[in-house]
Amino acid sequence: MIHNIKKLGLFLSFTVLSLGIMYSQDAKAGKATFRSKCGSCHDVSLKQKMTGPALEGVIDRWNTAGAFKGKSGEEWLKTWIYNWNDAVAAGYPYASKMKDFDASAMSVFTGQITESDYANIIAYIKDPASAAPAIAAASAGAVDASKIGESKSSYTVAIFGAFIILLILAYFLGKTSRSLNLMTLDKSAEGEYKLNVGEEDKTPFYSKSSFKSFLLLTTVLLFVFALGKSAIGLGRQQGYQPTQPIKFSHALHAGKNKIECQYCHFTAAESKHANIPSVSTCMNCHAAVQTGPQYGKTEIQKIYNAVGWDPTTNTYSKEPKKVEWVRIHNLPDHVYFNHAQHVTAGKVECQTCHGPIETMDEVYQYSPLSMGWCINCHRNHDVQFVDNAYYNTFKKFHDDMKAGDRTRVTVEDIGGTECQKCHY
Amino acid sequence: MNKIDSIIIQNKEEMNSNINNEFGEELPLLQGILEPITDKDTNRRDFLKTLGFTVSAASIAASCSIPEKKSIPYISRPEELVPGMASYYASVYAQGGQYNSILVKNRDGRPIKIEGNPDSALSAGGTTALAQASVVSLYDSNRHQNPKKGGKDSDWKTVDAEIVSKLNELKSSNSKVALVTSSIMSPSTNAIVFEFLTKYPNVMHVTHDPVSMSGLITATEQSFGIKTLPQYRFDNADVILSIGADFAATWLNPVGFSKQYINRRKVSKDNTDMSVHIQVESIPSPTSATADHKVLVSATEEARFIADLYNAVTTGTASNIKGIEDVKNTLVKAKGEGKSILIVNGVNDVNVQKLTYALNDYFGAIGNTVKVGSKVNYKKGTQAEVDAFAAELSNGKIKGALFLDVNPVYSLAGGQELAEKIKGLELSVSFSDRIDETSDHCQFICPNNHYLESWNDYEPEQGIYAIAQPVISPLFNTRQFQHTLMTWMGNTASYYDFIRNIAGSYNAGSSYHNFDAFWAYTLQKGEFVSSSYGSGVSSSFNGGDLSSAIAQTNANYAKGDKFEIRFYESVHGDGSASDNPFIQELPDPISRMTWSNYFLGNPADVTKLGADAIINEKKYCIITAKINGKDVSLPVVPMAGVAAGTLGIKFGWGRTKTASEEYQYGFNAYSALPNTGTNIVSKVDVTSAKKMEEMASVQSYFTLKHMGLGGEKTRDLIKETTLAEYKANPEAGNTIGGQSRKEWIEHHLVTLYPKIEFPGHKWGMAIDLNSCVGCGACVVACNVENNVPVVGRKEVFRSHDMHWMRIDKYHTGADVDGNPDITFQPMLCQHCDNAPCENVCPVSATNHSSDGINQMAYNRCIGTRYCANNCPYKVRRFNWFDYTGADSFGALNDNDPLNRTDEIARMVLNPDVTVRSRGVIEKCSFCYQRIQVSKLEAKKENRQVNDGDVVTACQSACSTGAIVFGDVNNPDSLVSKMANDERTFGVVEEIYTKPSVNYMTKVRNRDTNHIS
Repeated sequence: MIHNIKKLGLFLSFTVLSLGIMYSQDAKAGKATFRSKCGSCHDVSLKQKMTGPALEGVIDRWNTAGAFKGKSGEEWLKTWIYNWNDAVAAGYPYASKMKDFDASAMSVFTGQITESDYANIIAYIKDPASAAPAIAAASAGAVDASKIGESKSSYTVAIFGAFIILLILAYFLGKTSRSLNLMTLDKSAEGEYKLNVGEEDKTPFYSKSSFKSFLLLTTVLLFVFALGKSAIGLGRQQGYQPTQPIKFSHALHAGKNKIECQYCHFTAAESKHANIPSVSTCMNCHAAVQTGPQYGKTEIQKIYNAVGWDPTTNTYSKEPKKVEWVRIHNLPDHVYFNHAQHVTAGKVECQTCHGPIETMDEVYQYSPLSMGWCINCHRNHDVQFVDNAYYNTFKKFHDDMKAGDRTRVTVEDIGGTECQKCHY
Repeated sequence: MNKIDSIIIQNKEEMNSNINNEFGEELPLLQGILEPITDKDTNRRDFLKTLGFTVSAASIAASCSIPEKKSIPYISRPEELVPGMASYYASVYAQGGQYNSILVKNRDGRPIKIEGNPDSALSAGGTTALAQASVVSLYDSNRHQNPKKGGKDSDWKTVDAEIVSKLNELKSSNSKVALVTSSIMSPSTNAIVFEFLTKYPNVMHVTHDPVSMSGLITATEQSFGIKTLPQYRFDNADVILSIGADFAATWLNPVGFSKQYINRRKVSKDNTDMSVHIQVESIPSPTSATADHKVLVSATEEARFIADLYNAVTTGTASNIKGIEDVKNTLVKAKGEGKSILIVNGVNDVNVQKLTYALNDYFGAIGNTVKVGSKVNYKKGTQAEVDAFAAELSNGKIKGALFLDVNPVYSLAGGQELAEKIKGLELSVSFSDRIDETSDHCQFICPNNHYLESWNDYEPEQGIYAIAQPVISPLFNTRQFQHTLMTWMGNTASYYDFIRNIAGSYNAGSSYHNFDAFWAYTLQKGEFVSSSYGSGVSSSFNGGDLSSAIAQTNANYAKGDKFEIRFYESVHGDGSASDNPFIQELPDPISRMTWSNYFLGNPADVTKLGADAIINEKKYCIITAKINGKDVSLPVVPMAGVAAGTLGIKFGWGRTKTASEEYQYGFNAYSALPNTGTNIVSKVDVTSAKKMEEMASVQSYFTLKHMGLGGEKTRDLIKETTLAEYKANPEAGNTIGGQSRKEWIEHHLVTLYPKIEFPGHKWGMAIDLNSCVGCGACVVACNVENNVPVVGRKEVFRSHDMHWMRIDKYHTGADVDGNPDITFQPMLCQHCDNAPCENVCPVSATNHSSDGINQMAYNRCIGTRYCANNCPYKVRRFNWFDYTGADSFGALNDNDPLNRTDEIARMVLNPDVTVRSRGVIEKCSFCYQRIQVSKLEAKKENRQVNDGDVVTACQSACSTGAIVFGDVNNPDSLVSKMANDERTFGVVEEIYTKPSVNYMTKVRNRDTNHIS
């Protein structure tokens, strides 16, 4: 077996390397990173101008702007993205021009994004279409992979590095071992010892049965792994972004106009559900606001149709019609989730789970809503232990805190990871 | 046999063969699957084909995109409606003579649960099993969905026009029309009926109660001059003598009565004032379980008891009925001591009831514990009316009939003959909202709304006014009866306005400043109690000559040498709810049988008849009794506590026209009732049919004896003592192995495991055995709250019943085989701190939480059932089928005879509780959804959870407060105080399970021995 290790090593390192390359410039991962890091100012679809410019074709634009001080436009763009001040200070003309694009300045990203993040983002900007299917089809496995790529990339690099070193080591050890195996120390009739070096096996590695069985095993394992992964992903729809009957923009209402989330979704504070506001809530403003900045009167007219409002006479004179929104966040039936528990009791921000909702023109599912994701937060999140009198029930923890044996009380400490807290 | 019964091993050989053949029962699940597999040659190709199909089907299913789910908000949200939050509306359940003031829990526009209304003066937060189950009958796609003419769907306009023209025709020809209704408790309905009778003078109103109180009503009329029922005050009585009246579970106003009664039965170290309760009966009733003294008499003796007792008390005449002397002495002594006495009698006979009044009068009960004078409207029907109706229908005088909430074809003795007559009527209309025997023969069906879809008002007792409000729009094209009648009279006003008009008279004399305030407050609270309630005029008893009553009683109920039959009502009601699967599957408290009725017989008699049951196999022998010329064939269940020579049969079974044949098991006891309407019949010939029938029983053995190592042993699942002993030593009776429980536990229970800490809450329950009357309301409440499936008769027979809560019954006492003491023990998951189920789960689907809950994660369960096997309490249930339609593949259910996966039926499911799919274990969760709600409310209000905030479904349904739930870690909570009480014990705690449910020793108010 050992003498095959060289080929094995080659095969494996090729696989691993190709995987590594795949991860290093992943447009899908890039879109996710773009969303969380850039999405609050730049349109994720790259087409709309928001606080920041629409980024479709931005690399071409910078390259067209020309090289300067021995760096190409694209290199200057990189400098700009990490810290735009550097590009301006260096005197790159296009940078100086872009500085005045909007009154609000761009954030500084040095230390905020890694090299691979950067590569992914650029990959996404260059070819946004390649990231699209993952979102549109809501295929859970693919989206999951991108998520892993984003959060685990530095680990992955380290692990791959160590793996490659081990492979090289295995290769040399294997070679040594094989050579030693070929050697025999024969004792001649005279009692002399002689070192014999045998013939090396010349069969090509791909004809060997051990290689074939290895190939089969690897294929089966990969298949099982992929099957398991997609089975786990069944029913999960991170990134799910269906088309809604009314083009309601959270970026406009919550982002630009800074309307409180709970002005519309007020039952989040008291109930299990965060309500979709009834159309009458829309009319609180839209009885007066009859034209929108993006779609003019067309989308607002849909509200009027639903509520039966006639804007020409300012009366509710028509037959109301229901609005059938497409539900984005779906939990399985056996999961109990309560908004009030998180919003009112836990004081969790909406964005913690729903992402940068104030930047979304069209809402998509930001979090995986998987059990692992829930549990992780419950492990790390502190409850309002001191502020809420309910927690006086946990006398022991209060005593521990006074005695200095405990600094924090997480959701897990009070039983927040036990089955029946969410499944009953 | 997966019950906790102590099984007496009778046959060692049989036992050994059973051990060798562990899975003796065929695996019926595989029927129809095994044959095609085993009968044919299955070759490799078939195998590959099947495999290929399965894999491709699975991958197609998996690769499909997730279906789009729609979220549709209100156009304009009603102010009080918050999606995801429950709202409660006060209303009234009033059917079959029962009155329950209720709160209806509504979630997102759907009523999903009935709770008792704690503000009610009459039902005080309690409910009956029937009231709990009534919400299920709302969501029934087998209800009539349209008005019908000649059995075919029609529309209201056509039906109205034709009926009105027919009514006018009958009026002009002055032909008699009968409006047959059940007892009407509603003043507005009465007013409408009165208007109708005025407009159509040819119509006569007949009130028919299937389980009649005719004897009591007529006796009141004759002795007090007022035709009504009396009011009883069980809480004022120091000594209660009940002769065959099951007042705590079924008789008259069981919720109110049990509440009053149990108030005087709860004991503690500080309060040992306990009433004395003597129960005289031939058939054991739930009420007798709480009795201090049980006098066992035959059925005719039960009727004659009052006559002989009257003679013994007034003239000192000796009686040949066993126990009379003791009862007399007890009563006379109590009278001498100035104690108040109450005598109630369940025999439906005017003479018997007259004598009961006479004795009540003799002992000074009239005006004190028995009040006559106010109108009491639970039941109003008399035998005379019904007889007259039946006679006139038979002789053709009646040309038309309208039926509201009654089913005389089923619930009258001559029902079948009446059915023929009804078919021949010129006009026959039923207002029934579902299929029944009578409406089946009617020309027109004008389906009434379900009560949860209707406005109504009620006056159960004079001075108490209650409003019932609709909690959902009518699901089908039905119309409220009152509205229908108003339409026929040409009245276009709404019934709502009609009620408000009537309500005005109740507001007169109230302290509200205007009518609207009165209306709004009454609507919100459910009930308005006038200041005059209870203090009304009390008439005085004028019995006249009682000697004829005595003579007639003795003559009518003379003892013969043949069998005697006692007809009785069980907690399942009068049969009108027989098409409710939750009621059918509720085990009878006494026999522990489901899905059918049967004869209850004395075990010695049953053996004599050669009709012994094979209890291990749940097979019971059918016997045939010739009652009033009718052959009644039913299996006989031998039961200790049934008088020798008496057979019991309960009303409400053997329906013939229901949505599913599953609801038609048993025999219709009404059809064998004598025409006097009495519930006791003598001189009945009984023969064994020598044929066995499988019965869906859930408990077969009732004694605590079992075969252990070294012979017969007794396991103290329940603990009992007497009041005298309790006064002397509060720990009396609470022993393990003859030693005080406390000491035993201190010395015996040691463990290697570290002590588990519960840093916050530690949920626990305490159940007072003194307070449980076994009525079963908690069982049904649990079913509805927790989406517990019903499984049907066949599955119950196979011990696949799913109830999370059951009420076990045990027989103890000196005469355990003849006249045992009965104790009910509500049994549910004990949430053991050392739970045996948790250790054996291979996937840790059941484990312990830090607040003391034995958790069950359904989605982790792989269905090994090791836990159920290892549970000493047998409270874990396995889903053999997808009973409620939880499987994602939808309509693949292979076992749904009761239509429970129907879309409408599923509307009753509690959205906060997972609907379990097949193949997983489930069990009581301590209503964790309710705990979560209370915790969240506390957090929102920045406070701790108060004691009493969390009320489990079983606790809230219980009218006697037998169940207490709370946080044991909170030293001020009632449950933690009860946990430390001297009466407290845990079931089989000697195996160190450390249960979180505590039971309180049963205390009976007597000296050590039986009264007789």
